[in-house]
Amino acid sequence: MTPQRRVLVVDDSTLMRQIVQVALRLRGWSTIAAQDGAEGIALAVKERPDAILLDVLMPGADGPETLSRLRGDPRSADIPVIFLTGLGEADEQHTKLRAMGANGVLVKPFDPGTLADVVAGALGWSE
Amino acid sequence: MVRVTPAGGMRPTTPAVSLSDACRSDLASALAEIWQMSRASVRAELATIEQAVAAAVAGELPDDVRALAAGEAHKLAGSVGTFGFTAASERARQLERALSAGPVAPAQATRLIDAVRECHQEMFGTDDSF
Repeated sequence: MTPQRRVLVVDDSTLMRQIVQVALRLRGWSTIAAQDGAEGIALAVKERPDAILLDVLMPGADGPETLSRLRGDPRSADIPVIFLTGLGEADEQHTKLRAMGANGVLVKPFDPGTLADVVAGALGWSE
Repeated sequence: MVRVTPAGGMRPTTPAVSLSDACRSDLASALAEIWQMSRASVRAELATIEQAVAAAVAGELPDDVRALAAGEAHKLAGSVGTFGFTAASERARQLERALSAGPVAPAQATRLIDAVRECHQEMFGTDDSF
């Protein structure tokens, strides 16, 4: 039986939030969403999702700052985080993102049909 | 750690590769519905970029408008590529880079008009006015 997972999607693009949530819900997972880093942190602390998909470039607290704040709070420090970043952004940036403690870096655009597999694989979830 | 390279994206009517047939159909239907509901907002984002480029052509692009347009281009590049609009995603990325790099010279902006037009063409075809 597929475990029920709950994933928090943090992205300032309404369209991207919708795409990601549809793709993950078809896998049987539940999703919650936030449109910026501050809202994402609040939801992460309150809801304790199994994972967070976190956009890198957002107004206000961007992805790296949001991750830093999540890791600095014992209530959210252990929640796995996968960054969502744009194609063509420098490899050096990906290295920096990994060094910050992210559990993965997912490049947009991606194939929605394989998104759940990619997330599960990155986090070592056996489905 | 995983780094995922794009799979070329998919249009709403293209089946996903790792789901059951039923889920493929559900995903395609859901994406098609999302795209239909999002067309107006995507068109508005593209219009913001178009207006910024037009202002740059005239040599009158304020930094705050340029930054706003760069942000819209960033969002478009990631989202529409996921629907399979590969060329539009690439052009949006080109626009994002140009608009976020600093002031845009009129000659450079003239070239960016083509990028905006190509975005529009792939996503909305020739039926919609540009």
